[in-house]
Amino acid sequence: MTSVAIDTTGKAATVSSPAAPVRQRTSRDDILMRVMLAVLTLWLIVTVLLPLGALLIKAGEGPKGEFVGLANFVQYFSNPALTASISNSILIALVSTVICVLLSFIFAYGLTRTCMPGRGVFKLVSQIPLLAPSLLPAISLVYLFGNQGIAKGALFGASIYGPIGIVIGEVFWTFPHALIIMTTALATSDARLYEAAESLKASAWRTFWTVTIPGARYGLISATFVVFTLVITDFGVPKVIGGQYNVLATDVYKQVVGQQNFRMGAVVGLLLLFPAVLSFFVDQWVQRKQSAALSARAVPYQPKPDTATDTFAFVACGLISLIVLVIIGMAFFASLATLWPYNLTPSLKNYDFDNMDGGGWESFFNSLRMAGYTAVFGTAIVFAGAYLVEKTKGFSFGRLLFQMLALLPLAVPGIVLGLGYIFFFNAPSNPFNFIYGTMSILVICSVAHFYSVAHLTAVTALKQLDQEIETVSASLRVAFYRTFLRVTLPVCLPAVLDIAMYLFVNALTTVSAVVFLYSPQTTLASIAVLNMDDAGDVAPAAAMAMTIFFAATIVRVLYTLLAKGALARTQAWRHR
Amino acid sequence: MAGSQADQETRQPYLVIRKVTKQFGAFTALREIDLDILQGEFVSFLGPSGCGKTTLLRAISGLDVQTSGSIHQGGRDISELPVSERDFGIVFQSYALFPNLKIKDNVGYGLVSAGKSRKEVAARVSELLAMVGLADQAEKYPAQLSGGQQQRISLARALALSPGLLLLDEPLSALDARVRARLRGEIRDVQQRLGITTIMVTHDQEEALTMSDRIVVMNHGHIEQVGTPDEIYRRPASPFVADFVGRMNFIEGKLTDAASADCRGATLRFDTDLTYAPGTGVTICVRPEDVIVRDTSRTGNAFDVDVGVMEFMGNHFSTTLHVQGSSLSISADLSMNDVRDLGIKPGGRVKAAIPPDRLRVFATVA
Amino acid sequence: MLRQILGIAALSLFATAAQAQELTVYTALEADQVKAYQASFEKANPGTKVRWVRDSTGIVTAKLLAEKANPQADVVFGLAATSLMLLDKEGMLQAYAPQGLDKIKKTMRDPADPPKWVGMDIWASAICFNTVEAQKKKAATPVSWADLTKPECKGQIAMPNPASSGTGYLMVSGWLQMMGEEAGWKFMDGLHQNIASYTHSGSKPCRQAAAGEYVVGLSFEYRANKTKKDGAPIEAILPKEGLGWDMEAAAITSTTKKTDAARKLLDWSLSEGANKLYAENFAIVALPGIQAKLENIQGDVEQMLAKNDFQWAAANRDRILAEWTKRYDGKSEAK
Repeated sequence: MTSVAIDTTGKAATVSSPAAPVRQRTSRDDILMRVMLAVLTLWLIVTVLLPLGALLIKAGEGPKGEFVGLANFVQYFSNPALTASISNSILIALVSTVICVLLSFIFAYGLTRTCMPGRGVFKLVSQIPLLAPSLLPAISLVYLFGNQGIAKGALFGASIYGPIGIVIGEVFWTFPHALIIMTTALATSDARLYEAAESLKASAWRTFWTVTIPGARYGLISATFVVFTLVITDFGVPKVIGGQYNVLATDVYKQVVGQQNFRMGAVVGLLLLFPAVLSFFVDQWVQRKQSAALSARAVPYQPKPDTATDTFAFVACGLISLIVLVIIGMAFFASLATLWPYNLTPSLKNYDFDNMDGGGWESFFNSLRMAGYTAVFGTAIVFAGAYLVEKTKGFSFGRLLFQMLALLPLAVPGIVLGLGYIFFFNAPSNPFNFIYGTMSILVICSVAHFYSVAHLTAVTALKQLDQEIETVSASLRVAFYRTFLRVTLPVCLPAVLDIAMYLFVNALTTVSAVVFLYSPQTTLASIAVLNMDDAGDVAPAAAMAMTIFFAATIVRVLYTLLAKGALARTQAWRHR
Repeated sequence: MAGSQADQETRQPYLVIRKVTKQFGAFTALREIDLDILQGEFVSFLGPSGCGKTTLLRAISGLDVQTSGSIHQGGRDISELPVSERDFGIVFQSYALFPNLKIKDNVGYGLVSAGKSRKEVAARVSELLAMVGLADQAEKYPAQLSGGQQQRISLARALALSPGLLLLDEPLSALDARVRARLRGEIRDVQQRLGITTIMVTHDQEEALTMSDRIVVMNHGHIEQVGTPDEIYRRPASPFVADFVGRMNFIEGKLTDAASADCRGATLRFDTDLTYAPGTGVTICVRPEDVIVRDTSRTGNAFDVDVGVMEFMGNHFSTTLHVQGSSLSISADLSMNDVRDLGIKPGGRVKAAIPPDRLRVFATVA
Repeated sequence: MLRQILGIAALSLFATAAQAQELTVYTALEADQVKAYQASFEKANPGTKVRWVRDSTGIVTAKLLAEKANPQADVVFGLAATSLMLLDKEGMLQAYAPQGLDKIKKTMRDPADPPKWVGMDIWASAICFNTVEAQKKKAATPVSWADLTKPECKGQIAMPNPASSGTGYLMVSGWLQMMGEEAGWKFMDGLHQNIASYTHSGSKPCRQAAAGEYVVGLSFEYRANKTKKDGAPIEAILPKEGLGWDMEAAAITSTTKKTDAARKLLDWSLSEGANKLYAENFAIVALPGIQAKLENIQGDVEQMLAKNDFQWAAANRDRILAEWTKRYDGKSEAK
């Protein structure tokens, strides 16, 4: 039985009028998800985009609200006292960045590439600065190196008030941020490259420069820009220890709070937006490069004991950790002294906040409430947003818009966002004007301020989940929110708690955005630190900063215990 | 175009696909697909990656709706229905089990939402678990099961609501060879017992050949051939199908008359007359296992051949044969018996025949 | 999620509702003073609560001016009279004759009738001098402003920035009036050579002197008295040339919607009880006869007050601050 088929080359194409395109009917789930995504998009527009727009408009306004183009900028740049801050800021940021990236590289190298003892402890200590407002290291430096400082001699007569103090404080404060990036960059290197280098008999030194550094280059670039931006936009440290050394971030504050010159504040704020936006785009670029560079086949590097390297790393990490502990310890010690430096008898006198500037203990409880609300509402909004943007079918424009808005806060310094909030929410014509001066605006602003990192954490967690779970659920005719509650949320619980923790600690310690937004009803602890230091109550300021630190630490510890207990129970399925 | 076995003709098509086209921007992933699938049939979509098989499955499931064309399931036009309003169960390569739910809760997931009572759910779940042979695993979590077990759970879950259509998206690709072979049989068995219409997407021809009632071979967004495994294997409708399914010798030649061609100096005859003029280029296909070395005189196309390289494949030798007096070489699978009995060895000489009824001839595309 | 959004909305509504019974009072009083004042007032006027917006004089003034379009304050309480006169010029205050107006000193009220503002107390500049550090550095105790320009004080003096601090401004205004403009600026040029830091707040220089950060802190008598009482090794010195001073005063804003409650606060301010509280902090208060000597201040503050023309100090505030900023702002603390 033979059958010979012939391919008749030009198979007659059926010529027919183009059929009507098929449009899938949107299901109830789809409609619900789109509506919710649209609501959250609107939320981000109101809480991020419009305030920034208001800031932009303000920078181009004259005293009577008329449009004056770039006149405010011209005025700004013709004032040498103000423009001097630009070079000051850049210098400070550059020096701090170099030191911080170098130290964090050494520290991360010790943690990931050596077998030095005590890595767990070092890792723990290195994260301490995250738990305190940036004002704390600055205050501590006053006690260490001020005119009555216990280590004043170490500066050889130079004054801590000014660039030296700012740089030390900023390095302390930005260190954990750089460290996280560097640790990730160094931890994800490919062991095979080292084996290849070893088999080619490359010296350790050569291997370091030809394998380690190139492997970590994206981490180095990313850390550099992140630290640079953090420093140039931070005003807590220079405010406390800057002395007469003016920088851009304190100029914004000085213009807005000190002189109530909002237009000039907006101008300086926009200047601060530049490095942040630049850093944002560099970071995005790096992320793409880095994920492309990491092949799935990479074999994780396992460090081998090496006495010389391990000893050096141990000494270096030990010194850095010691400095961190000394800075925290100094602030704590000073906060307990009855009257620094004349009466060092321990007392809790400095913790009697109610008789001092800043709103007293109420500020502390306000801060706890604010941080709590930010954690709860922020996590809910962030996770819901991340879920919807990941899982909504179609609606690509809406999803793209949301994704962009969610990342935007990463490019906006807190001080700039706070300023935008004044212009936007305090405008009498704004229907949301009623939240001005309330706890709500602090919570909303904090959620917006810290949105991006939380969002990215949520997206990463969601991406780790099998993408087909929603399809299976839909085919089983289960509504999406059921699957969300029953599967997605429980599976992502660790990430959800991480986000809540991140939001809580940051809201508790932040100064930058909320400094423009608090009202007498809603004074905050971190701002009380600022105001007490301003009034010369430096020891009580240290006491309040330590109170924040302890609160953050306690919550952190409780969280860890919870993670060990409750998480272990709900995440039982993770274990084989 | 559908296979024409007598029992299938009496059945109504359950799934009717008409002129389904899918565009991704300028790229056409599916071009005017027409296909009927009968009630209770097991159909595999086979083809290389990017051929459109997954796109077609996603159109059927509603995950990625087609740009134009229609799909009817059980007489109902489902073209525009969202996923949740269609009637199918689906199994993915990744299992897609809910990691935080116990096996019984995974299987019962859709039942609970359908408003079944606790008792009904429990009964149905144990029934399903028994069917896939995992009745004793109900209280475990997915991560505690092996890949093959997880995929069986996934199957049980897909069948829980007794859907009209079962979609299998590369269900065995993530498993190792041994488990894959066993599960092939089990899935087919369950499908036959339930009589559920099933579509499986696969790039593995062996899977398609062993499990399917019919195979749809796809390439570049269109269907190359639809047929029973036997038809696909024995009578590939195009060089592509011939090449993609099984191993094949492709011999270039020129027609000398209506039923023979000159191939590098050797003349091959075939059974059916071709209507092309002599001199037309043709491609002649023959499977290595169809080349014979015994009783060569009974068929045509018998040649004296030089034995070239012989690769031992375990149950046969993959051998290269050079036709004497020509530059034609073909590969042939010679059985162990043939090799032993005829004393075939590399550099030796033997008589071989290429039976004319086993040849597939295609005019070479100009 | 909708519920959360509603939750935030509800939260805000709640916060607004809670404000209803409260007077928003802008003040430059010291944080450690307001508590007693508030307690006394709220005890005398149940149902009226005070919410303080506290900052230094310059900032409260700037804030009030900046918020002119959308005013928040009901009462301005404990702000320098020179600043209140500035606000009055902008038409931001309303006239009210509080109960007991006839009893207070004639000099301690707005001359207009009814007055736009009423005085509370007078505060005057003082030097906080750290005796321990002075001994270490062998520095002589200054007895006059002129002593502060001596080279041995170099880098040892902190002073409040007059642009933000009311205490700073009363010093500058006092010097210019005592010495005459030309000599006054010349004195400040010399002083500037020795200044280590211009602070944002009027209290900070005294506290810094108390902590030994600097030997000399230019501040005011309340803070000097209080800081010494807290145990700091300082002397409170009243320089012999005379003291710059200003009056803390209270006024009702023209835009308040809570006029009745606001008037209660002003009535209270003129009461004997209030003046007794003021007298715990300041040597000179509005009501005659309630005079208390501050235990740690040597000398008679009232006797030493320099001649002070409020009208002049208020009218020339902008000009003086501009000049000062031009000359010395480089050493100013951020803010």
